Amino acid sequence: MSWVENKTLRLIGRTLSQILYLARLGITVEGIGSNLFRFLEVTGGGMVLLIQTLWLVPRPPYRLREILRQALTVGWQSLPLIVVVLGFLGMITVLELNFQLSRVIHNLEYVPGVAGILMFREFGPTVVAAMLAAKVGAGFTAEISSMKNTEQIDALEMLSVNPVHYLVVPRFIATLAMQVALSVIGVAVAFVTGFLISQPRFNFQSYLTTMGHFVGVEDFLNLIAKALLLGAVVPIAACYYGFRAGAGAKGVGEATTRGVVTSILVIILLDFTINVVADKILEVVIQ
Amino acid sequence: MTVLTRQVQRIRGPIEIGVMAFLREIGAMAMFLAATVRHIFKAPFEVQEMILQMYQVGVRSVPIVLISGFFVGGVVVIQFNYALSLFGAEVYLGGITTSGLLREVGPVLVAIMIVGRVGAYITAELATMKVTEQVDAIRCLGVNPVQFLVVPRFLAVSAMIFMLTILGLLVALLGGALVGNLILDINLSFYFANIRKLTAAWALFTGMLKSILFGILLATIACYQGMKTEGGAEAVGQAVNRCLVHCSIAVFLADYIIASLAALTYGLAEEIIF
Repeated sequence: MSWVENKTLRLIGRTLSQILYLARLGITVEGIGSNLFRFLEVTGGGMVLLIQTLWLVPRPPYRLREILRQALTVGWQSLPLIVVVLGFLGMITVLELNFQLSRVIHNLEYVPGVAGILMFREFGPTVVAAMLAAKVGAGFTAEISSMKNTEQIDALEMLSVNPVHYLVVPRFIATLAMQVALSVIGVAVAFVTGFLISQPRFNFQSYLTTMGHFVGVEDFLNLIAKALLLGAVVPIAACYYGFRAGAGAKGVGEATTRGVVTSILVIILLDFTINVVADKILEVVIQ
Repeated sequence: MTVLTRQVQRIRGPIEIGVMAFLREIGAMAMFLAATVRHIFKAPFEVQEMILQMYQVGVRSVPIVLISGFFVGGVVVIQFNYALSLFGAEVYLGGITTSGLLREVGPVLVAIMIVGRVGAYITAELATMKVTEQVDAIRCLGVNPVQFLVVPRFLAVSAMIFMLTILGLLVALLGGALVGNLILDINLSFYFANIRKLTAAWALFTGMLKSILFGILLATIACYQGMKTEGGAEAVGQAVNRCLVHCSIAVFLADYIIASLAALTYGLAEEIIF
C-alpha cells in the first residue's frame, strides 16, 4: 500500500507547490506596479478615444448609411436577446418582491410599484447595457481587431480617412440610440411579464394604477439619462480594445474578452456613480 | 380562407425550422454534458491541467469579482433605500438588502461577470484549437479530447463559480453596509439589527444552489460552443458571441426557474429550518 500513499502524497505536494507558485504572481511589487500602470494606460486611452469620438461626431462627412447599418446590427439583431432576458428579469423581480415585501410591509398591493421603480431606475438600463456589451461589444472588438491585424486600418490612414471617424463614430451613434430604444422596449417587456406572473392578484387596470402611483416622469427621465450614459461605455471600450489588439487570432480573442469584461465593469462603476450623484442631488433639492 | 391558409403555410416553415434547431441544440448540449460527466470518473485524471484552468478561471477573476461585487452592493442599498423610504420602512433596509443580495443579485451578478471573463476565454481557446485541428491531433495521439480538454475546464469552471460567488457575496454585503453608512448616513448598528430577523439560512442556500447551477450551465455552454466550432477565424468569433448570448439567456432562465420554485416552497422551507 505504500505506493498509493506515495503517489497521493506526491500529487498533493505537486498541487500545493503549484498553487503556491501561482498565488505568488501578481502579489509582488512588480505585479502591483505593472497592473497600476496598465490601469492608468487603459483609463487614459479610453478617455482619449471618448473625447476624440465626441469631437468627431458633429463633423462631416456624415455616414448615414453606415450608422443605419450599425443600428440594424445593434438594435434589431439584439432585440430577441433583450426581450428574453428582460422578460425573465421582470418575472424574477416580481417574485422576489412578493417574497420580500410580504415580510416587511405584510402587503402585496404595492409590489407593481416597487417593481416599476427598480425596473426604471436600475435594472432596465443596467441589464440592457450589460447584455449589449456581451452581444454587440464582442462583435465590435472582433471586427476592429481583425481589421487591425489585416492592416485595413493602416490602409484607411493611407487614404487619409480618420479611422476613429470612419469606424468608431457610426458605432457610437448607433449604440447610443439603440441603447435608449432597447431600454424602453426592455422595460415594457418586463412590465408585461411582471403583470402576467402576478396574474390572479391584479387585473391590468389595477396593476397599471398601482405602478402609476410610484413611477413618475422623473423615473422615465432617469431611465433615458442612464441609458445614454451607459450606452456610451460599450462602443468606446469595445473599439478601444479592438484598436490595441495584439497580433493573430490569439490577440483578437484576448481583446474580445478584455473588451467585454471592461465594459461590464465600467457599466457597474458608472451606474454606482450616477446613483450616488443622483442621491446627493435629490437631497439638495429636498432641502 | 385560402389567403389565411397560405399565410399560415408561409410562416409555418421558418417557425418549424427554428423550433427544431432549438431542440436539436438543447439535445446536443445535453449529450455533450452526459459525455463530459461520464468522463469525469475515468482515469487518467488531468489534475495539472485542472489546476491551471482553476487559476485562469478563479484567481485571475478575483479582482473583477471583488470590485463589481462591492459596487453592486452599494447600488442595491441605494435603490432599496429609495424604494423603502416610500413606505417609511427604512428600518428593514439591512435585512432586505442582505436577503436580496444573497438570494438574487449576488449569484446572477457573479455569473454575468464570469460569462464575460471566462466563457469567452474558454470558448475562444477551444474553438481555436478545434479550427487549427489541434483537437484532431490530440485524437490521433489516442487521447480522448473530451477527457483531456473538456473535463478539466468543466470541473474548474463549476467549482470556481461557486467559490467566486461566496467571495462576491461577502464583498457585496460589505459594500452594502459601507455605502449605506458612508453615503446614505445609516447607522451601522441600525443596519445590522434586522439582518438576523429577515435573512434565513434558506436565502443563503438558494443563492448557493443558483451558483452551482449557473456554474454547470456556463461550463457546459462554453465548452460545447468551443468544441462544435467549424471553419476559420471568423467561426471562432461567432462561437464566442453565441457563447455569450446563450450563457446570458441560460443564467436568467435558470434564475427564473429557481426563483419560482423558491416562491412555491419558501414558506415550507422556512418552517422546516426555523
